[in-house]
Amino acid sequence: MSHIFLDGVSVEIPIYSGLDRSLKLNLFQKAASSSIMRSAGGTIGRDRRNRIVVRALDDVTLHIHDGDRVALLGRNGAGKTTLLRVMADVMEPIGGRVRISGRTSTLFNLAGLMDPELPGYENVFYAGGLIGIPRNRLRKLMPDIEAFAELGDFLRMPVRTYSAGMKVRLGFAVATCIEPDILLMDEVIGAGDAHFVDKAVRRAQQLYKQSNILVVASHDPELLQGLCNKAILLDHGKVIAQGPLDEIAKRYAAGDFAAPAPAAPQQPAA
Amino acid sequence: MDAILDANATTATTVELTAAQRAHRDIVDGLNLWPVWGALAWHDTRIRYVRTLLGPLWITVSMAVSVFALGFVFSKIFNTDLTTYLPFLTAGLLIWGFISGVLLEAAATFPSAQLIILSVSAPYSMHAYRGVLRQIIIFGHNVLVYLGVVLFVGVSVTPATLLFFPALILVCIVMAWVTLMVALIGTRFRDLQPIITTILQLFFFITPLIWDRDQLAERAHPIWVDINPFYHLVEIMRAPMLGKVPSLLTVAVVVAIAIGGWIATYAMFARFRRRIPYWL
Repeated sequence: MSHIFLDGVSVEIPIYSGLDRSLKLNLFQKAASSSIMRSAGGTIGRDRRNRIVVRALDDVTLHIHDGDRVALLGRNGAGKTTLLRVMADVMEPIGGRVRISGRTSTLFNLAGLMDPELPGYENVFYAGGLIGIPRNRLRKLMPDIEAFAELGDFLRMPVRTYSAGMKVRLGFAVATCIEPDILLMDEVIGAGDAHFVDKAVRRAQQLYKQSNILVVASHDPELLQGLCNKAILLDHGKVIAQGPLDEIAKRYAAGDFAAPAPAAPQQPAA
Repeated sequence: MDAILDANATTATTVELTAAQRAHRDIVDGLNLWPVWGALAWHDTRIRYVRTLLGPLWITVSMAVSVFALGFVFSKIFNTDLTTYLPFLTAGLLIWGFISGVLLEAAATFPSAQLIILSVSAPYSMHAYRGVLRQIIIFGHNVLVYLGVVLFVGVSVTPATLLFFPALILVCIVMAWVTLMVALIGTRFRDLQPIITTILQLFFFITPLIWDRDQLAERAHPIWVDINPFYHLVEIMRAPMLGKVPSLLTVAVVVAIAIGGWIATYAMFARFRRRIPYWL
């Protein structure tokens, strides 16, 4: 039994730089006006201590249950990555409650976690160790990782000789080898070639057929169709809509980011 | 407010913890992750010298060069016997290298681990332990120089020499809180790094490393040495290396720094730990 419960979660990232004096910024109340709503990105404003902050998540309430495979949709800067970070317990929100149960594995930037100077094999232990997989476990899983990554002798070469797609192959193979209860992914599979993306989707489907949770942020509609059954649409750090993937993807494609009217509350995720 | 992710829970239990409990867990869980930060620290050392011929032995070589050069020059200036001066100088510079190395890298601890911190939920304290261990590995390479000096001029090995090991552990306990606190402040205030560099330059000259406390005592009051915490941190390790027992004052000061520092760090870490990813 795994679940992710977020209740009124807000994240404000303070910006420490000379901006404070030089910028005349709109406050939160002004941000609601139409000119701001048309732009992408989070909401810029000031917090109680009058510091410049970016409000990356604004009162987000979500319940994700066993078997949910959720796509996070939204424009650049809508808060998808921040939301994933909150779910991964990498960031504690400044407001609201977070309840997560289940073994979580994150696939945010595994290619970035690898050390370019180390060969592929050693990077399996290095990156795998960083995401919390013990060495002896990795040693046992090595044939599986080798088979999935399909990198052959390149596993003996330093990772700096790899292309972006090759790094993704290795990273994905490592992150999914332990079958986590909850897998969080941020725009990662996209760099692989079509054959690999296909394979990755099949692996993810296999892993998440039964009782596990998958949350993935991506701009690739085909990839999401293959992976997910539900979707959450974010804009300016707010949940605009949640529900079945088809319905939400249509709204996203149409560019309909209007927040639900307060009088007619949004339909909760089925 | 408190997010908790029970990564290792086998049952679906959710516990809510206070900031202090989370800080405590971070510090303890971080220690328990020693296979990870141990491997990372070793990896850091190796990667710095990748594609070089001598590898990490370059640490040993550069220390040997500076020790012998400084040793010959200053033994002439001070008109002292090289056989007593060289071990003193070498031990002092090795320990100073360790302490200043930890401090110089401490402020960048979290920013340089940014990728890890923003990708995986893992104790932050692990990065501080990693930094201390990295400097111990360098110190270990430098000890080869000291062994060379011991063979070259001869140093008296006494039962007091064994005190080196508890002294090293004590200094490591101090350096662990120093790293954690400097890392915490240094992530928020990026000016800390140049401030530390400046302070360390000053203390390199006013701490008895090249000159001895007794040399100053002939001309000035040794209080200027005795109130210097760096002197005691160096001396507690240097005295055993030279076969002597460190003074009670030195031991007392270092123990006080270890305990007092951890209490302050603990309080600060509990208060600001959750802000770290926001400051990166």
